[in-house]
Amino acid sequence: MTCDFIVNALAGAPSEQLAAMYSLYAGVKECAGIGRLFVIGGAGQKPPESLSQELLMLNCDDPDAVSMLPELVARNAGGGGLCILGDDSLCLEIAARLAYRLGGQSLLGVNRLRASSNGLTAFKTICAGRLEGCFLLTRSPFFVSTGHDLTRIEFEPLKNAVVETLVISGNSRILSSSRAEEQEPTPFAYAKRLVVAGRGMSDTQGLSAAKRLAAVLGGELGATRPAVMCGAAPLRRMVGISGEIVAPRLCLVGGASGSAALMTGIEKSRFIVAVNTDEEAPIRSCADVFSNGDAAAVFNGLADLIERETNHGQYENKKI
Amino acid sequence: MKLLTCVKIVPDLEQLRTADWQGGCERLRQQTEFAARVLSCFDEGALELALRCRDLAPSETSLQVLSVGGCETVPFFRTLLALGFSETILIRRETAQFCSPAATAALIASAVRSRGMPDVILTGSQSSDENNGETGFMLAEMLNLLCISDVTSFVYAGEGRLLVKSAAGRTVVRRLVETPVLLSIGNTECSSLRVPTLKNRLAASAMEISTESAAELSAFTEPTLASFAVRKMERFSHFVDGSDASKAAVTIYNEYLRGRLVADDM
Repeated sequence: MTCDFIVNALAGAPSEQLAAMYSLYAGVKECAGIGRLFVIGGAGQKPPESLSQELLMLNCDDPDAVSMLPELVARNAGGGGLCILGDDSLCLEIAARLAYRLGGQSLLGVNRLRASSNGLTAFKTICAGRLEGCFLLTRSPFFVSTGHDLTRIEFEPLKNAVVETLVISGNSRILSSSRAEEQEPTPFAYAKRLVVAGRGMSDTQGLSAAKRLAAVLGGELGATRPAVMCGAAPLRRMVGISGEIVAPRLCLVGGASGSAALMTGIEKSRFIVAVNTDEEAPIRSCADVFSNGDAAAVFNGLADLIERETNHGQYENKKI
Repeated sequence: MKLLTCVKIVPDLEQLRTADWQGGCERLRQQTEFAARVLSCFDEGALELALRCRDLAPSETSLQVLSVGGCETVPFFRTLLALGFSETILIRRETAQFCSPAATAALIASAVRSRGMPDVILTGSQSSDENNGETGFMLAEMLNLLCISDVTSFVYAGEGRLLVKSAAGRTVVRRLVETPVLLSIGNTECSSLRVPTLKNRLAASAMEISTESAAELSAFTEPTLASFAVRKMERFSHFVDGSDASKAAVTIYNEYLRGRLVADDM
């Protein structure tokens, strides 16, 4: 069996994506050689570092799966039995479509992969992060995408990869498109310290306390899904299984019950402090420190202490 | 413009305790049978977006909703009829393999072909129980449709066109697309479904819900769930009494935070 890789460079950080994909491949490398690397990019996209000797660039102004599939099928992507893809929406769609088109099987969000006697064994989280499911894939070609719970393994980039570049026409049903990057002063997802406001802090007072504590800590503010749906914070600040998965050194959570969807988002934090008036809230057993006080009052108290300690300044804003 | 929203009714997993998750795959299904049913969260957003599209062009838009499931779907369809959905289609399938997106997509595709292709098909990006995220993509493939993912909003632009906004991470993309198209709805800012009036609920109680049995489909071998394990997220939790918030803050800061903050900054 050989393993092809498909990465969408437009989703950002292609080298990081490839490291994640290589981590997944590591579980089957004893029985699968490295095939080709397909890179989807915008017009004029430069090739990223490659983990394969053969690199095919598929450049398109506004790539979509329908436009990409004919070339991928023609080039026999996954023809060696296995294809690993990135975790952005375009790659997920390509994985599902290719599996159906070629009569194989697909599984998205895989964290571990193992070879088995009649195919592959794949592990992924299910039920909003509560469970890890073990799936059996028995009909190749297999198309799997990377999950959030991978341990990244760095790969040695190949210097002499043979690069071929193709320009793909966009989909004629897309009449026009424009792309914009939202500007953020500091990347929220990589903050060293994070304050997460739950629905219990989505009122003016609670939100103000959360913002203040984040500011004096030199950290960032996040919010749970219920808090975002209340309008407490913009969507891009949502933490959880359908938002950002974060790994700060310190995470303070206020007014959140601790649903599995949220905990999946913050479980990689080094130290978690949770405040919720409900002593039975599930977050109690998932935090390092739990208090049943009023979150806004406790957060304001912490902010007062930190300000006094740092002479009315704040801790320096550092990244992990 | 005919708009079809595909939804899934799922168990409310928040009602289950950690102990409920022990046991094999069959027990998993048994345990969730007793949980209350809710709309999958992304599907709820899709329904509200469909209603907002209709709000802007009421005379040009008709709304349909389709679900593959059992009788637990009926109360939700009554609510949607009360909100103005003109047709509700239930494909009865009482039991299904856990994670069977291709089979589900095939049932939906068959229903769509028999009723005529709508201009827009909406699906949630994934359900909150199985989290497979593939049904919409497979449906698009079976119907040979363009699919736009991570959709946060869309408006009808006239003459068979939609203006679609999608956002993934920090990238926002705006596209003008021709119908028919499948939109996979991600996180939207209007994800809560509006509530119908009592008057509309009473009027909807007598409306018909179209029901058909799931057809026998040619076998499509899908990955099978062999086993599962509960993910350990528990930590040793120190308790700080919060009856006096100021004292709780002092305790938390002095005993747990101060040393960490100083060490981090060294």
